[in-house]
Amino acid sequence: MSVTILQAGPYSTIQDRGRFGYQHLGVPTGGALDREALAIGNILLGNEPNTNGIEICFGGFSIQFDVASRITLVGSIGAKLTVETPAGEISEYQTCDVIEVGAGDIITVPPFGDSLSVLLCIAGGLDVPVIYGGTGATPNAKIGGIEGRILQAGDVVPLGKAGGTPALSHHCQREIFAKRTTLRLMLGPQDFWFKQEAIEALLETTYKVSPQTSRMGMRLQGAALPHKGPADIISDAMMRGVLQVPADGQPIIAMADHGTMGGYTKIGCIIAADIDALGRIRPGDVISFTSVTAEEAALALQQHEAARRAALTVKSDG
Amino acid sequence: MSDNTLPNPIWLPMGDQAIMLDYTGFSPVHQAAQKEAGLTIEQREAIAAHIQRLAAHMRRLAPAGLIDIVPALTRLTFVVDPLILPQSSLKILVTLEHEKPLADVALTSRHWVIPVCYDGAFAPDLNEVADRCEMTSEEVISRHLANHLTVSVMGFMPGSAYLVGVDEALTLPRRANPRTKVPAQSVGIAIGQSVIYPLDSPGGWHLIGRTPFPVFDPHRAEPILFDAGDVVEFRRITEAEYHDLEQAYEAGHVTEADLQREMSS
Repeated sequence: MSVTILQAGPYSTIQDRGRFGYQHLGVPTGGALDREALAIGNILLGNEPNTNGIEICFGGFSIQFDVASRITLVGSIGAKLTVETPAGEISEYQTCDVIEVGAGDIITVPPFGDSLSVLLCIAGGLDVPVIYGGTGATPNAKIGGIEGRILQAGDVVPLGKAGGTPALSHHCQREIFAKRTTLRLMLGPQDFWFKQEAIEALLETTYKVSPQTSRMGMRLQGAALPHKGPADIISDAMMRGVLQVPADGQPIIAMADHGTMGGYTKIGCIIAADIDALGRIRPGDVISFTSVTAEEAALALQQHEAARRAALTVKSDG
Repeated sequence: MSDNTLPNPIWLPMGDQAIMLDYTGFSPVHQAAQKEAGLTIEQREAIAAHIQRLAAHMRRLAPAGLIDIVPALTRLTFVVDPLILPQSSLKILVTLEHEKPLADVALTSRHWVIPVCYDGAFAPDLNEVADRCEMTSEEVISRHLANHLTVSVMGFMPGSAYLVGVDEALTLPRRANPRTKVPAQSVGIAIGQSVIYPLDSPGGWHLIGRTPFPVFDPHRAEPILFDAGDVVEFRRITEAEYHDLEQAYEAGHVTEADLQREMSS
């Protein structure tokens, strides 16, 4: 009742929704970069909502099951998955396909081009210890997953208890995972530490995603965002999606594994409706920002939830 | 508010999923940086203590949709599920609670005695700190040992604590060139505070010692040693004692309970 990692790829980790309620002890929230994809994957498999999956950045991942199971790949339109049976038959699948796999099958996720990360969801998830309310790995804090680290070839990970065939089988339109490169943010909490030209540059020019991007932060390259005074503040809370600006004026977007506190001024924060889209943006992509009010953000979130419901439909039997 | 020496806080949104209460006393029309830099150490400590009380109060209240409460030295951040508890509702709730006296919110505070070796390779910056503070290395050590410190706030990694109350004669800025790797359990000082690194990590503090006892160990029942409000006192040990204690910890002969002192209050 386990899976063996044959190829780990450059950065693959076990991830759930994250750890909540422990930031005051310094415990990062972590969790999947694309929690929306995780939620959809778990619905497609009939899993509990917070069942973990394997987050695969860039691809190059391969895994073998020693028992029959059910899987789905989510978080991208273009990523593919192959299943090779012990008899040597190879079948190819797309994201959102729900796939029955057998004992001995080898599942491979080759490198993919459209998204930063995809999630391989498995019926029942993986059985790893819960620490501070989560099972996901945050390697910079040496916490979660397997000994707090990324997956390695040779790892054997026990499977969690699957709930059996879901009562309702769902279909998901994979277009919901389309890459979005215009992200909505709310200015603040420290936007007034910046010169007016910084706000204009942020909202009117484009930024290129640096190769120095990780699960901790997405570094951007573009017009510098000048401060009125010093770039440093007395450290305060961080949040996924916050744009921090150090003295060099190049913004860094906090990603899932950000530290709980940060000492750079924050010019804005990506809104909830767009935050999971960050998990699909790759180094080299060019992105831009628009500013919304709190009321517009609330409406955007409602529309986003409605779009998710519309993309997920219950399959009729037969 | 019971303590009228505190600046009036203002609300600042951090996206639609978090909102922070800022006590640095500035408003957008003022020069923010100057205001923040103008706070005295006493004002900062009063603000930090108030924030911890309010955070504990709200954590106890635990309204639906309040996901996380993240205190910092001068700002308190509330993380919300905007579909359940919109920021406008949270603001009203916190403002109402703010009117009540918070002094009766008892913070559980423990007193830790942390063994530290200040010798040799454990203290790579000790001599430089002594030179810059114009005192001997022994005086740096005795001043670091002299004060009982308080955990003002936790973060940014599991178990890291900002310890305030360090002897003012030891106040230095952070290192101009941060190290790319500081060993876990290193004891550092800077900006009038002290820290113990919970993990191997990059770091810019001046390293003057190391403790054999991990402040963060994911294999422990309680992985994180400190919490805000705890009192920390350092006890000097030799290198031989360091290695003995390290082995004793790994063998399970020394536990958190051995480092705690009964509060005298």
